[in-house]
Amino acid sequence: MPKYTDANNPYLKRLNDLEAARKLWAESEWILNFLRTTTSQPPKQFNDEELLKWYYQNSKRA
Amino acid sequence: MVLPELEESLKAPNPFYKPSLELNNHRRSPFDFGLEQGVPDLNTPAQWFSYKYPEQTKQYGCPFLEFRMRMVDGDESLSPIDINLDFFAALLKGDPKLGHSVIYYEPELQFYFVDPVDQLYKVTSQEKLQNWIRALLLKCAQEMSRLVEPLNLYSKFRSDKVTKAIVQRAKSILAADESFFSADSPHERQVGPELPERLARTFIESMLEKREGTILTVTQAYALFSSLSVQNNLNPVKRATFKQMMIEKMKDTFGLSLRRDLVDEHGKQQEGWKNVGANVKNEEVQALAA
Repeated sequence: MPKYTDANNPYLKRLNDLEAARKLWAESEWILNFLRTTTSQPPKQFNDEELLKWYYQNSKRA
Repeated sequence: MVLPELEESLKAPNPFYKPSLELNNHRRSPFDFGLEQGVPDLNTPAQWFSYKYPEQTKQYGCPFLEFRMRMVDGDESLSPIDINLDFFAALLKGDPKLGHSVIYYEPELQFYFVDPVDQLYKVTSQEKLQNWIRALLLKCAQEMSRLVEPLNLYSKFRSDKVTKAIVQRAKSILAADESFFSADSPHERQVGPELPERLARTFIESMLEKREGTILTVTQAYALFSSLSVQNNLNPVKRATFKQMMIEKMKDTFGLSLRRDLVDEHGKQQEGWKNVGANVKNEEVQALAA
């Protein structure tokens, strides 16, 4: 079992990144709710993996 | 437009207070190396907006003209008295860090925004953009300290007159021409007349292949393409339109011209292309054939 510190723990990094991604997603959804038109289907949502992918893609643009 | 207090103080300066007009952009510290240091102190509405939208500030200038009143006893108050329409129109473009993009598609006189979940541009209205501006101004007003007078943020700048003027300005700042949604463009939208052409390109590039000795009749190609259109929730395209699209794209992709001398398995003369067939390894082709 590898020994991890807080600095190099990939599981902790994933948890922290997911928390940051959710915060950013909430900000994005707040804006998109003004622009979207209500339809019979609720807006699609990302699962955790898709959310992280979106977060890393947009972090490169930051 | 000028506040009565300012006009009065300019005519007869009062020793007990000092008014000033200011353009207060948020300025990054020269020691800011992009490390996360938390949200800085944003004391005025202009700083609040310029911190959140630095590119728009750089291009179009300070979001507000602000009026500060300093009293000799140390009290002061600040009020945004005029709004930079160009800045707010540019702000509607959206934050690329959130994957947002809003454009004004000139051929249709329509605003579109991209939904990050499916990366498709969807229609939005001028009224919805006005709602967004009003919400942002109110958010700013709520986050300001008691130093800032909220009246203009809450009332004057959120009026229909001002928000309509911003959206009207956005039509020029966010303008996109007909090539933005062309069949060859990387930008895709949910509904549009270029979608069948885009699907035709996907159809040819991924579902057909060059194969010596085979023929693909227009009828066979049309049947496959129609099934694909239904699968992609597109309205069926007329056969004549499909044939015209295919003639151009088959020439571009495979260098093959339409022939009228092909004979199918029933011995019947058909229009089509020689030495090309369905890519049977493609899963979609297998699914459609089934």
